[in-house]
Amino acid sequence: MRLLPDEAAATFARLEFMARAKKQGAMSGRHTSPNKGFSVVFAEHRQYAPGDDIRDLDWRVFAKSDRYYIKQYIEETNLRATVVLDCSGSMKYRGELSAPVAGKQVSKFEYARYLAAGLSYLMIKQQDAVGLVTFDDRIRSYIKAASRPSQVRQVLGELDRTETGNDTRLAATLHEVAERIPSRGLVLILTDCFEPAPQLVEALHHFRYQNHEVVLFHVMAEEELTFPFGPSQEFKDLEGVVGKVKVDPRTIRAAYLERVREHVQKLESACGRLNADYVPLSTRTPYTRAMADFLARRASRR
Amino acid sequence: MSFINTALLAGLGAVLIPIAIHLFSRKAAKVMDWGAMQFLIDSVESRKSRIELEEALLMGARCLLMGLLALAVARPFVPPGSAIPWVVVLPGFLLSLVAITTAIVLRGRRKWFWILLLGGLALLGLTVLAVMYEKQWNLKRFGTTGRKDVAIVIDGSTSMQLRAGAAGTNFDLALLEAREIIEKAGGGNAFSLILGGPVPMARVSEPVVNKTELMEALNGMKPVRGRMAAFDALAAAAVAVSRGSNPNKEIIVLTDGQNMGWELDNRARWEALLAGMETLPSKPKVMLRKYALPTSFRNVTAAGIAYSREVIGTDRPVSIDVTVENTGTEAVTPGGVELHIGETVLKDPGTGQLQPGAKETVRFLHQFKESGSFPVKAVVLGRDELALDDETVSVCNVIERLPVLIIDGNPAERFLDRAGAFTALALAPSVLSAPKEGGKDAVAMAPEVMPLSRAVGLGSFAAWRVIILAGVEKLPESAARRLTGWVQGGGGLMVLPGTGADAAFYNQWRTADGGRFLPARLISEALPKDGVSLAMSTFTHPALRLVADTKQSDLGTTLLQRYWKMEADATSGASTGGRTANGDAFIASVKSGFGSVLMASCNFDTAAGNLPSRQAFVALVHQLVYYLANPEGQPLNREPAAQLNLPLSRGASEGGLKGEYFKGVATGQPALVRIDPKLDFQWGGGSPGAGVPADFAARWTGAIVPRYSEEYVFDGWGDDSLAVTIGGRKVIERGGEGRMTLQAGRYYPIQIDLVDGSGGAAMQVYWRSQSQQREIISSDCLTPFPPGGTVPETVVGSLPVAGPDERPRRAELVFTRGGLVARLGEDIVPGLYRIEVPKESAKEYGALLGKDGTIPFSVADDAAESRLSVLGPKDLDFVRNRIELLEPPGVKDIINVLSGREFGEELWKYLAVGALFLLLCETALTRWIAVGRRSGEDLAVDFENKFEPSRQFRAALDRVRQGGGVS
Repeated sequence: MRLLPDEAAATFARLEFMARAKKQGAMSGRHTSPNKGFSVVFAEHRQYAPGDDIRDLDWRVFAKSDRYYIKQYIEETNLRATVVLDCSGSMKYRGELSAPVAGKQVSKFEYARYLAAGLSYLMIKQQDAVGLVTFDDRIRSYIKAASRPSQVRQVLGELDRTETGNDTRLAATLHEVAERIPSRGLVLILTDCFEPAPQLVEALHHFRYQNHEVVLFHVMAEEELTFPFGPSQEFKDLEGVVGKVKVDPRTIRAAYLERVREHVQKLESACGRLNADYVPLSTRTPYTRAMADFLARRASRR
Repeated sequence: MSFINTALLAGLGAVLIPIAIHLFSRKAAKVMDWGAMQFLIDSVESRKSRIELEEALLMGARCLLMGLLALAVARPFVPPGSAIPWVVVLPGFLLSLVAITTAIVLRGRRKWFWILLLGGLALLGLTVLAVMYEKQWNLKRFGTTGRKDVAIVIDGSTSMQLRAGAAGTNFDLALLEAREIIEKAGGGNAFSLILGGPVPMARVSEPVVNKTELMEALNGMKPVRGRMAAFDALAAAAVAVSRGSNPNKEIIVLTDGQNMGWELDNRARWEALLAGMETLPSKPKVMLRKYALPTSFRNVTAAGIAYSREVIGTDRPVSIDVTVENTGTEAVTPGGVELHIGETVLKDPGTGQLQPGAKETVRFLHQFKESGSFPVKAVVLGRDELALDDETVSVCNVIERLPVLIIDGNPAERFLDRAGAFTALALAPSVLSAPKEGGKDAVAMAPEVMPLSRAVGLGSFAAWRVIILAGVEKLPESAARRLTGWVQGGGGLMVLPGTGADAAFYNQWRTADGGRFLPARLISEALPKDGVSLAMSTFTHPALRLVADTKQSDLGTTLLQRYWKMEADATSGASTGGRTANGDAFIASVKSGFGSVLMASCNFDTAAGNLPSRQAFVALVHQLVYYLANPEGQPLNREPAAQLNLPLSRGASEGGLKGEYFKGVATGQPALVRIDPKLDFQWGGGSPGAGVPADFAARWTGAIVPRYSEEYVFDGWGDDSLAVTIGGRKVIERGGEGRMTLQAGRYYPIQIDLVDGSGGAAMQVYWRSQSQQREIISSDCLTPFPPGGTVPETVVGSLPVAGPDERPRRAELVFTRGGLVARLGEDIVPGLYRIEVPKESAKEYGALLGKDGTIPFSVADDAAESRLSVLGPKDLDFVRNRIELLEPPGVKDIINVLSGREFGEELWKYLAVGALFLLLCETALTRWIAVGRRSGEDLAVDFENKFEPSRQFRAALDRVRQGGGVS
C-alpha cells in the first residue's frame, strides 16, 4: 500500500503490537465514553424525563421514594475518530529539510497524509471507528467513522486519491466539519493552520461545543519555521491568491519568524484553554516518530 | 577643480558595480512555491520602508566608495585661482551618484525614483560640465603645450638676503629655483632673466633657449641694495617676452613678496601695462613664487643722509643727519655710526637701544674746506642679519659760491631804497660794501644787485644760478624771452612784483611754446588797512618748510600792507606754496623746462610791510634761493629710475643757436655740441673747441625771431662755404645775399651749415632791414630750441661709469636743452657711482668734480625695504583683478605649468581617506543592518513537541524499534 511504506508498515506493526499489549490497546476500549448508556458500570442517577427509555428506570428507587429515576451507566464504546486533513494549496509546500519518506522529500501534505494514514490504520486495527474528512476551501470528501476492517482500505484509498487543491478557508470549513460529524468524537485535525489564529480558535471552540476531543496536528515545513533562505528569493503563492513576492529573505527573516512564533503561541495557548491537544509537527521530524510521540502522549493521559 | 587623468573618470562606471550586483541578484532570484504567504507579506509590509532605507544607505555607501576610488584614481586637483571650487564639484559628483543609486534602490516608488534619478542625472551633468569648463578654462590659462617665452624675474632686493630657513638666503634659493626651472622646464621654452631691483635689470633681455648663457647670467646675479620695483619688473618682463617668437608668454616672479614697488595705488600705470600685454599674442600670466620671510630678525639700517641746506658752501659748517632705524623685530643697540666724507671719517657713539620700528637721527657737523663733490657714506656699526643696508651713501656737492643776480627795478640813490636791497642784504650783508670779485668770501652767496637797464644789456645770464626780479615794472620783450630760455635751460627765477609792477606784462609773459611762464597771474593790488598776516599753516612749499616752523620763525607776525592779489595757474602745473591769512596766495611756484620759477605776491621791501624786519626773513630768502638753485635737492643724489640724467653743465639757452661740430663732414655723431650766442666766429687756424679738429664741419640750428614785420636782407660769409636756410628756404648759398619777408615775434627755423675744408676758419651772418641797421644777428633774436617739436637731443659721446658693483657701465653724453647730461640707462642700482671724465674736458665740469677727478653721484636706496611689509590678500586681489596671477606653492608646479602640465593641489589623498572612511561606514552599516535583521541570532520558532514520553514508554519504544517484543 502506497501510503504505508515498508518501513512505516513495520513500525506500525510494532506500534500496533505495543498498543495491543497495553491492555486492549492504547486507544481502544480505554476511551471512556461520555455517553452514558448501557453498561455494567453504574455511573449515577438522573431524574426521569419524558422520552427516556423506560427500561432504564430504577424501579428500586421508585419503590423507595415514589420518584422516577433513571440509572445511568458508563458506556464503554470504541473510539470514534475523524481525521480532518487540510488539502489546501499551501500544504503542497515541499521543503528540502523535511525528513525523507522512502528516500523522498515530502511536502507538508504528504507528511500529513502519511500521518493520517498511519493513525487511521492503527485505530482501525484497534477496532476504533475512523472517519476521514478532506477539505480545501470546502469539504472534498467525507467518510463516516466506522470500525469495520474494510474501513482501512476505504480511508487509505481516499487518502491516496486526495491531492492538494485550492485556497484554504480553514476556519469556515472546520465549522462545517464540526457540524457534520457526529458529536463526541475524537477529531484529529492535520493542517498547517495558515489562517488567522482567532478564526481558527473559534472553529476549535465549535468542536469543543460539539463535545469533540480535538487534537490539532500543526504541520509546518522546517523551512517555514527557520526561513533559511539565501540572498534573493521570489516567493510564489501556492494557493495562487497573491502574486509573486520578490524579496531578500534575510531582510525579513526576523519579522517573519516573529509572526510565525506569535501564531504558534496563540494556537498553543488557545488549545490549552480548550483542553485540546496541540501537536506541533515539523516535517523535519519523521512522521513515525511523531506518531509514536503522539501515542505516548495519549497513553500517558490515562 | 579639474582632473589630471580625465580619461580615468570612466572609472566612475565602477559605481555601476554595486548597482549591477543589486539588480542582478534581484533578477537571479529563484522562484519558490511558498505556502506561508500571509506571514511573508505581512513581514514584507512591515519591513518595507526599513528595508528600503537600509538598501539605499548601503548602496549609497558602496557607490560612494567606488565613486571616491574612481575619482581618486582620476587625480583631481584644484588649480590655483580655480574657477569652479572643488567644494562644488566633488560633492556634486558624489551627491549625483548617491541620488542615482538611491533612485535605483527605490524604483518601487515611482515618484521618488524619478525625482532622484532625474535630479541625480542633472547634477551629474552639471558637474561634468563644470569640470569640462574648468578644464577648458585651465587650458586657456595655462596655454597649450606649445613653446613659451618665459621671463623670470628674480627679486634682488635687500630683503632677499634674509634667510627663513637653514637653506641659505632667499636670493640663493631664488637662483637655485631659477636654475631648476631652466633645467627642467627647458624643452624648447625660451627664457629671459630680469633681476628686480629699484630699476629692473634685464640680464637676458630677449628670450633665449641657450642654457649656458642663462646659467652664466644667473651666476652673475647679485642682490642689490634697495627694493624691487615689482611693477617695473613686470613691465620689463612683458617687454622681454614680447621680443620672443613663441606664441605663449609667461612671467615668473621669484620674490619674498614685499609689497613695495607693486604700485598698488597707481591704477593708471597698471591699466597701461595691461593694455601693453593685450598686444602680445597671448596675455602672459604671472606666476608669483613667494619665499618665506623670517618671523623674527635683527636689523638696523642706515635709513638716510640729510643735509641741513640744499646748497652747501665752504663758508660755514653743515649739519649732516644720519637716520638710523631698527627695522627688525628685536631691540638692538647699534655699535655707533661712522660718517665717511671723502677721506675724513667722523664717528659718533650712536644711538642707545633701538626698539623695533624706532628711528633715531645722529647729527654730524662738518665744514667743507674745498668745493667739489664729496661722497658721504654713513655706516651703522654692529652686526645684524642684513649687512647690505648697514650703510648708505650720498654725494654732497659743495659749491664755492652761488651767484645770484638781483635785477633791481628801482635803482635809487640810497641803497636801502632800492627794490632789491633787503633781498640782497638778506643773502649777503657784505653787499653793502663793494663785492670782492674773485676773492674768497666768507659767504657762499654772491648776490649782485644790478639795475634793470644794465641787466637788459647783458649778453648772457649764464653766469648766474638764480635771478631775482625785485620790483621790476616790466622787462623788454627780448630780455623776457632770453630769461625764459635761461630758466628753461636750468636757471632759477624769483619774481617779486613791486608796487609799480605792470600786471599786463607779467600776465602776458609766455614761453616760446605760448604757455604761461609765471606760476601766477596778478589780479590787482591790495592795500589792506591793518595789514594782513601770513598763514603759517598754509606754507607747504618745500622751500618754506624751515620758516613755516612757528617755534623758530617769526614770519607769522608779518603784516603785509601792500601786495598783489594773485592766482596760481593750475593748468600749467603751478602750485600755491603759501597764503596770507585772508587766503590770498603769497608764494607760487612752477617748473619750467629744466628750471623753476618762484613768485611772491610782493616785493621784499618796506613798502610791502614789515616782512624785511622779521628775523626769519634772512632764512626765508636763503631758503627760496637754495630752492631755486637746487630744486631737486643735492644734484648728485638721485632716486632710482630707468634712466638717470645727470646734468653736467648748465644750459645757457637764452639766446643763440645750437652749434654742432663734426670731424670732417657733417654726418654722424658730432664731436662737440654747444650753444653759440652769436654768429660771429674768427677761429683762424685753430679749432672751435675741445675734440674738434682744425678741419671741421659745423651746423647751427634753432629759430630766428625778428623784431619787425618787414623784408630783411641777409648776408654773410664763411670759410670755406656757408649756407643759411630760414623757414625751409635757402637764403644764402655759398655766400652772397638773400632776401626774405618776416613777421615780428614769429619763430622761423634757421639752419646754418659751414664746411671748413682747409686753412683758417671764420663765419659771420648779418641782417638788415628798413628799421634796422646791418648787424650780426644778435643773440636775443636767436633761440636754439624753437617752440614746438620734440626737444632736440644730440648724443655727443659716452663716459665710463664705475658703479657699486663690478659691472661695467657707460653713460651717454647728451646735449639737451638743460645742457650737457650724462645719461645712464642700465644697471641702475642704489649706491655710489663715479663718472670717469677725460682729463682734457675735466675743466668743463669743474664744480661737479670730486677730488679724484671723477664725478661721483649716488642712487638712493629705500629704507622701507628693510621693514618687510608683505603683499596682503587685498594687494594680491588687486593684482589678480588685473592679470592672471598664479601662486604656485613650489617650483615643481612652475615647471609643470611651463611643460604644459596642469598643476594644482591634488586631492586624491583626501579622496582615498574618504574612501577608507566609507569602507568603515559600509562595514558599520552592514553590521547595523545585520543587527537590525537579527541575522546572526538563532531565531528558529519553538516548534518542538513539548511532551516528553515517559521513560518506560521510551524504553518500550526502543525495544520495539529494535524488533524486540513487549513483555
